[in-house]
Order: sequence, then structure tokens, then C-alpha cells
Amino acid sequence: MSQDISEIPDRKMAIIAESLYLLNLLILPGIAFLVLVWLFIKYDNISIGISGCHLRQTFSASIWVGLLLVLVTWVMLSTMNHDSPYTWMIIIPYFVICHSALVLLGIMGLAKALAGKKFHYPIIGPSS
Amino acid sequence: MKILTKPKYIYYSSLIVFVFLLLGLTIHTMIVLPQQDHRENLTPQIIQGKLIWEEHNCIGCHTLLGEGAYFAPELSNVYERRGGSHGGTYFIKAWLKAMPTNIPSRRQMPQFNLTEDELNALIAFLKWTSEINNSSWPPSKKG
Amino acid sequence: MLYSSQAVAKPYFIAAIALFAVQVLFGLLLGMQYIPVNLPFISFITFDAARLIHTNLLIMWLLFGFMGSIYYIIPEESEQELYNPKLAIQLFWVFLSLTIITFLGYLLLSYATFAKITGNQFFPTMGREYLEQPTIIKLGLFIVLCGFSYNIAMTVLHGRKGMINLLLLAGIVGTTIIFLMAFYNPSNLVVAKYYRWWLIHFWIEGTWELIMEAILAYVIYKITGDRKIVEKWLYIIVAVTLTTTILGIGHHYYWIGVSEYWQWVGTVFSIFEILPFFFMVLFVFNVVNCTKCQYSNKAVKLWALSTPIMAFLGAGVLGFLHTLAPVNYYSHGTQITSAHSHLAFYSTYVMIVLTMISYAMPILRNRKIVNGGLSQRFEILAFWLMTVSMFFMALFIAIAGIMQVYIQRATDLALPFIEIQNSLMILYWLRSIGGVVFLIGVIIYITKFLIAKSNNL
Ligand code: HEM
Ligand code: HEM
Ligand SMILES: [Fe+2]
Repeated sequence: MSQDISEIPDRKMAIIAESLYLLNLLILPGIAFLVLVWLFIKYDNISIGISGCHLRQTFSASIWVGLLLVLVTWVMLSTMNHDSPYTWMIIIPYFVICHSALVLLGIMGLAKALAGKKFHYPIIGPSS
Repeated sequence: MKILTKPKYIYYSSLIVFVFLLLGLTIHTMIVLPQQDHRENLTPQIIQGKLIWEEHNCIGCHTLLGEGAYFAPELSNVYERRGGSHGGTYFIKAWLKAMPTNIPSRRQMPQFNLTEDELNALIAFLKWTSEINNSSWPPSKKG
Repeated sequence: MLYSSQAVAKPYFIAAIALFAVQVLFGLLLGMQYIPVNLPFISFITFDAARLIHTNLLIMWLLFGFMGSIYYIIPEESEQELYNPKLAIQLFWVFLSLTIITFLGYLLLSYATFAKITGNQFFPTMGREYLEQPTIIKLGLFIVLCGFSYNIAMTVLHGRKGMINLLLLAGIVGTTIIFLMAFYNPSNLVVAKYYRWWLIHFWIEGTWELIMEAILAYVIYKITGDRKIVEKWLYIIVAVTLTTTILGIGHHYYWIGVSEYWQWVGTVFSIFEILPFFFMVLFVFNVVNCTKCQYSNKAVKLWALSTPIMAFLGAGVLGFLHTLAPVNYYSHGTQITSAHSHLAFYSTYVMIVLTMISYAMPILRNRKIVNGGLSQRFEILAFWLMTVSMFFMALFIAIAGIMQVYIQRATDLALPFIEIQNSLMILYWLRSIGGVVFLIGVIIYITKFLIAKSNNL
């Protein structure tokens, strides 16, 4: 399959992967992630081309998104006392900072995909 | 077709559309505004009060309808908060005269040395402001 | 320097940096009064006077910075000398005098006295947030803006017309026309508030934003050398700005007593006001390919790449956070607003002016840029100190705001304003510490220019 993919679809796939990552964060949480998972399984994600790179990166980063934004926030919400201002003084800034850092990484990933280059999500992306 | 995607035309058209929308909304807002701001109650005294408010830079510490500085309490509802027609005037007057409190480590408000007339005008202005219909903001009486 | 008239930018940049330092100094005084530390050197000035200096000098020095940047860019982009360099210098001195008179008036006189001796009662325009300058000062400022626009317009119209210089021209002509709203202060408070936002909002989220985008595009073009792709991105960014910002003004109309449909208009349109910042980040990271570009000043690259990121956080994220009417109902006029003001102003306007200074000053002063040289190391250190400390100051104040909203507005506690402030003291302390770090950053930033003077590092 990797031989069939010409230069342009390769870049296109990279752009789609990054866009799905951002959509998952911004407008379609969950749905965009499922599409990304589907693409990740369906398409070649081990190739050295940029589509493989961006698919692997966004797939891994999206899982981190789920952990950091959904799981951690849910744990905090369910264990902390809702009647204390300190709870909200922690949860809101935590969520906002995490969320905007992840969005910024996604924008950089998309910028690189548009330029036809690889991108490595620091810490939350696989190293290759 | 090409001409339509030239930046110039996109910019002009979006500017025209949105500026006209803004003007339309503004005209409508201004037409219905008298029901919200109760301008029928505006007196020369209240207008003088607004000038006194401005010339002492009250906005440099307080908010009024949520705009201004965040160093001191919201004042659009201070008249009601301090008793409305039962003592609002009395309280605000006494307050302004008692400044500064000189309580250590409490924020201080200056003494403005306003005359009795000026105090009355200022309070009339605050009273009028508290009657503006602004979608019941602030959320709590405390401001 | 390609054109000798670009040199008029230099005094503007110097004035901008000097006023920046004074502005921040007074910011620190404000932060101290919040604690409150009753030291004589802090309480020599009332909070409101210090705040006047802090906010008004901010506006003035940013205008100095914009003017300097535009005077520098326009000849190059128009491919000809400035129409009237002499006028540019004369206007500089007029503007500087106006600024200093305003500053001294706030510092030495009580505001009421200042209003009286400048005749405010004959034409009242003073005492409204950001528009506190005496009426005659406003008039002077308007004349300066007119002369500036005229000078730029004549240069642009006689020269090569490109995207960047046309946008700058539109930005400053718009800024000048919008400033006329400063003279309209009807006696009905609601109407006055309604139209005051036409000035404030359409400056900081309208024409200034256009100027900022054009300056950013120019610097990125200088870094990459590829005009076509820069203009393509600029085209998108400006289109998004224009379509969202005009009705986005509704986010200031929720609670001032005008019709309730503004809650819908403001919410819907200002959600999309985040898009220009989104595209700015996309733009710079798409275009700047550091392995390829010829241009080697690392400090400029650092400023230019960080500006959109910080603007996305300060204006975009923090703006979005309280722009939805149901959220704004609780956050309106609290420390949350202050957090947004600080990070947004710093990230969009302070950083873009410093980016431009970082690019243009070495050229204006005939310095060779040495990567890793002492002067550049100072600049980069100053960058980190200022940016990181501003981020944390905004964070602490935002947290204070959440607490304030919770205790004062959202729950049954509803404690009085003043009593709440004591429980926020630790956050105010942290903010002041951030302020000290910020000031150190500013001092190091200024030292950079002095070092470069004594030896060519
Ligand atoms: C040492 C650093 C600084 C400190 C400690 C500081 C502190 C303050 C304080 C205490 C206020 C008054 C808030 C109130 O009304 O209660 C204020 C207002 C303001 N400051 Fe700063 N400031 C600093 C630097 C800056 C910088 C660098 C900028 C510009 C980027 C800036 C822009 C503003 C603006 C726009 C306001 C008005 C806020 C509003 O009305 O929402 N400040 N500052
Ligand atoms: C371009 C950069 C921006 C700057 C420099 C800026 C600056 C400011 C300042 C100084 C204020 C305080 C006004 C006051 O004193 O009452 C303010 C208020 C506000 N800004 Fe921005 N802003 C920017 C962008 C944005 C964006 C993009 C949004 C929305 C997404 C936004 C939403 C708001 C809202 C909702 C308020 C009202 C806060 C309140 O209710 O108290 N701003 N902004
Ligand atoms: Fe705005």
C-alpha cells in the first residue's frame, strides 16, 4: 500500500490526521478521535513517510488528551469537595492550561503537516 | 471569478456587511434604550453627578456596571446595597465624609472634600445608575 | 537600512522603551498597594493616580512603538523615502511633550485639579477608563495621529502598493478616525458606555490587531524571504479578523443596560475572535523553517515565533474563557478581566513592538548581530524573564479571580468585596513577586542596548 501513496496524498493524510487531532480537542470531542483511530488502523502507520509519522503522533497524542483532560479532570472532580473554592482554583486552571498547551501542539503539528514535514509531539508523541 | 477572491473585494464586502449590521443593531438598540435606562428621570443634578464622578476618577479604583478598576467595590448597586430609599443617601454621604479610615492594612479611599451639593448630585447619579435595567447584573447584591 | 528616512523610527523606539519602563514601575506600585505595604515610597501616590499612569502610558508607548515600526517598514515596502521625514520628527516631539505633560499631571496634581485647570467642565471627556487624558491632550493626540496618517498615506500612495503597507495604512487611518469617539461623552451613562467601546474595542481588537498582523507578517517575511506565502497567510488572517471583530464588540454590551440580544451577538461572534490568533500560530510555524532560512538573528526569531503563541493564550484562550455571556455574568469586572488584560496586552502588542525593535534597532544603529554575543544573550534572558513572569502573573490573578467570583457571586456566601480581598492576599503577593521579576526583565532589556553601545557585541 505504501507504494501506491504518491507524494500528495501522503501530505494530505498528514493534514487530515492533525486536523482530526485538533477537531477532537476543539469541536467534536470523541467523534473526531474515533475517525482518527479508524484511519490509524486502516492506513499504513509504520511507513517512514510523513503520513505515517503524523498518524502515529496524533494517535498517541490523542490518547494522552483523553488521559489528561478527561480522566484526570474526572478523577479530580469526583474526589474533591465541590463546595470549596480551592477545588475550582485548581481544576479550572489545570484544565485550561492543559487544553491550550495541547491545542498549541496540534497547531504546530498542523503547520508542519501543511509544510510537508514531520513533527514530533514532545513527551506525548512516540519518539519515532 | 478571479476578481471575487481578490483580497480587496473580500475585505470590502465583509467590512460593508458587518458595519451595516452593527449600525442596524445600534439604531435599534438606541430606539429601545429609553425603556432600559429610564432617561426620563435624568435631571441636571444627575448629570452634574456624573461629571463629579468623572472628575474624581472614581473609575480608577471602583467598577461601575463592571467597568473600571478592581481595587474597590462595584458601585452601580451601592445605593441599593446600602439601604436604597431607606438610608442609602445617608450611608453614602457619611462614608465619603469619613474617608480615609486609616485602618491599618486596609485599602484606603481618599478624602475628596465634596460640598453638600456635590454629594447630593453624586448620590443622585448613583441612584439613577442603580435603576438601569441591565439584565440583573451583578449576580449578588455584594457586587 | 535601505532608505535613510527609516531612521526617524529610532527616537520613537527609544521613547517607547523608556515609557515602557515607567509604565511597569507604576504597575509594580499598584501591585504593592494591593498587598498593601504601607511604605512611604509606595503610598506617596494614590492607587487611582498610579493606575492612570500605568494604563495611559501603556497606550501612549504602544502608539510610539507602532509609529516607529510603521515609519521603519513603510519606506522599504513602498520602495521610496518617507514623504516628509521632518514632519515625523516634529510630531515625535509634540507627542512626547503631550505624554510627559499627561504623566506629570497625573503624578503631581490631584485628578480633580487636573480636570479643573484643563477646563474639563467646558467639554467633559475625562474620567472614563483608558480615556482619562484631559480634553486638550486628546485633541493634541488626534492631531498627531492625523499628521502621522497623512505622512504615511502620502508615502504609500506614491510608492509600490503591497499587502503589508496597505494594511498598515488602513490600520492607522482607522485608528485615527476611531479616536474621534473619545470626544463623545453624552450625559446618559448607558449611551456613553455604549460608544466608548467603539473606541476601545475597535482599537485593541480591530485596527491595532491589523497593525500587529502586518508587522508580524513583515518580520516573518524578513526572516524567510518569501513574500508570496507570507501575503497568502496574511490575507486569511485579516479576513478572519474583519469578519469576527465587528460584531464581537457585543461581548462588552452584556451588562451595561442595552438590549439583551447583545448577549447572543457578542457570544456567537466573539467565540470566533480566537481564530485570527489560531491562524497566526499556524502561519509562523508553517512558514518559518529554521534549517533553511538565511536570516540569523536568533533573538528576532524567538520574539516573532513566541508572539503568536502568547497572543493565542492571552487574547485567544483567556478572552474566550470569559466571552460567553453566561460566564461573563459571573466574571465581568473581576480579577479575571485583569488577568486577560495583562496577558493579552503583553502578548499581542508589547511583544510585537519588541519584536520589531529587536529586528530594526541593530540595523538603525549599524550594529553587527553576533549570535551568542553578550548583547543578544541579555535580550534573550530579558525575553524569558518578562514572558514567563507575565504568564505567571496572569495565572495568579486569574486564580484570584476564580476565588473572588466563587465567594462573592456564585455561592450563598456572597461576602462583601473588601472582606474577600484578604483571602486572596497570597495570590496578590505572588503577583507582586512576578512583577518584580518582570521589572528585572525590563532592566536587563534596557541594559542590552547600553552594552551594544560600549562595544560591538
Ligand atoms: C510589574 C508588572 C505589572 C504589575 C505588578 C501590574 C499590576 C497592575 C495592577 C495592580 C493593575 C490594576 C488592576 C485593578 O484595577 O485593580 C493593573 C492594570 C493594568 N495593567 Fe498592569 N501590571 C504590570 C505590568 C503591566 C504590563 C507589562 C502591561 C501591558 C502589557 C499592563 C497592562 C495593564 C492594563 C491594560 C491594566 C488595566 C486592566 C483592566 O482594566 O482590565 N500591566 N496592572
Ligand atoms: C487583541 C488582543 C486583546 C486585547 C489587548 C484585549 C484587552 C482587553 C482589555 C484591556 C479588557 C478590559 C477592558 C476593561 O477594562 O473593562 C478586555 C476585556 C474583554 N476582552 Fe479582551 N482583549 C483582546 C482580545 C480579546 C479576544 C480575542 C476576546 C474574545 C475571544 C476578548 C474578550 C474580552 C471580554 C469578554 C472582555 C470583557 C471582560 C469583562 O467583562 O470584564 N478579548 N480585553
Ligand atoms: Fe473586546
